[in-house]
Amino acid sequence: MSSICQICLKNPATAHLSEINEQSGEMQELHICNSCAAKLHLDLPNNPPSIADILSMAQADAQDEPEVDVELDISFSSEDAEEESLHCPDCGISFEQFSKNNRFGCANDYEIFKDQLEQLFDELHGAKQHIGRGPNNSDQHAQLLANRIRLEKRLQDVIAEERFEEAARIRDQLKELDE
Amino acid sequence: MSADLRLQTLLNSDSHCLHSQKQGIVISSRVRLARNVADQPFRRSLEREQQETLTQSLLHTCAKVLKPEDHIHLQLDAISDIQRKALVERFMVSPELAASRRSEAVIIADDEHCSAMINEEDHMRLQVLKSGLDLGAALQEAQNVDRQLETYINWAYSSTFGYMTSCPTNTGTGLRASVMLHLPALAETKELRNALRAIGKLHLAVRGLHGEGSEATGHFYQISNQRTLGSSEEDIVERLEYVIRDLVEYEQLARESLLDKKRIEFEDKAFRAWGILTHARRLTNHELIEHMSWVRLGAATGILPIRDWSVLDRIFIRTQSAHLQLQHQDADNGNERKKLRAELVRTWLLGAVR
Ligand SMILES: [Zn+2]
Ligand SMILES: [Zn+2]
Repeated sequence: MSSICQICLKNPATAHLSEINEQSGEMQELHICNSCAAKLHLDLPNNPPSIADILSMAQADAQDEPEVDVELDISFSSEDAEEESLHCPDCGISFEQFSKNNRFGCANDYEIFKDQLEQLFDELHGAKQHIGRGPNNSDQHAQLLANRIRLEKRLQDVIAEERFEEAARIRDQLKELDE
Repeated sequence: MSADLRLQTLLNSDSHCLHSQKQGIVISSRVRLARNVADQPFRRSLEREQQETLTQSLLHTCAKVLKPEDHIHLQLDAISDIQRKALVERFMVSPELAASRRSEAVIIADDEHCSAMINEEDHMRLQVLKSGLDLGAALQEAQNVDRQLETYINWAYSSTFGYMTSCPTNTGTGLRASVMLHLPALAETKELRNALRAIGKLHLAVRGLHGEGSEATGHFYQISNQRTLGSSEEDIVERLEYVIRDLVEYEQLARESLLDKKRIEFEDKAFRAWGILTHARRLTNHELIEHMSWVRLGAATGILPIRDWSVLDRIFIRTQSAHLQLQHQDADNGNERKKLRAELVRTWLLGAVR
């Protein structure tokens, strides 16, 4: 599933728009990241413009932008340089390579890039913590806790969607869990 | 029966999992779990030989659960390009897996409801496919197979990230649930754009028939969850199903409204499509799907006298290019296929009239 921003072709996209071209009947999609959306002053949650409009805004914006100065290329802060050299000892990929392809090299990368991943997962999934099931051996306490997290998150969601009957049902389930 | 003969039989039959229901609005439900073996590099970091070994050992282990008695075990490099393409057309294999040239494998239940791709982007992608809207049952079955596999295989899992996958968009549950829908009336009433935009806000993805990058020809859509981390499997499936039920209802309303307010235009379109499909001497797949969209809608609303709905599902699968090439030696060029496709469509459709 492609999830790189189609405007900057760099950041992971956080908003995904899809629409049908009325003439051709073709599906059009646009994946865009937070920073590009902010740069173009888009109000995606409340007032998303059409994909064609966003694309032409992005094009106009790119033309306004001055050519990138060569100096900029070499002015990495020491922090960036450090991040650059973050490599997984197991499979050898760097965080930069991971960001570019949006693919991990091995499971150990999750541990090595842990600090950087929090933000990515928050953008992609709106969450940082797994809630679903795990292998059979997970102990009962972990299961209870996971249930609790799951129900609480679900409660927030249904309230946001104004499904109040469902919310009442979940509150009951949470109470049961306490007992 | 040898694996090759079983594959041939499979590719010569109607799909076992695409029996459209609910007047053909919901075609099928699919659940996919992405899993990777612990302590092994992910697919893209595997050396050729490592991958070969892993494919063999996964095939061996999976055979304990997806038993060779009722599952076909296939090394993809052992079958022809056309057979691979036909498996893509049947939704058993992803286009990516079919295109790869390294040692990949797939395990397919004889009735196609369950399959496992080995060494696609993840070490294993387990898929359960069901007719109609039945995500809950599909999830249960996939989890059941996964639980059995877990007694033999240690998957890469962490309590924070859940199942660790090659792409961060699958992390957590590794679950992609999707439903294939036919929404022609909604498209006709121009409400579809709004509906699909609303869906995007619910973190669901809308795609064409064959997934990412494929065109939404004939108003067939696949709708799937985009988020895999931070919700339980059951919640992900429940949310998707909730939205699908709404869409089905909108589509039904749009159909009623078409019949009510624009009956003549609607009949005209359905009968024209029927006329073309039952008389054309050459058909491209694209043309076929565009006209089939109207024929399905006409059949579902009782405008067209089609008695046997399964024929519509059959045409959908078995007149695609690779399927034609497998059944007919001389269908190796496009013109011949167009001719053959038109013949089959004509015969099958006319046979389905009451
Ligand atoms: Zn961007
Ligand atoms: Zn690594």
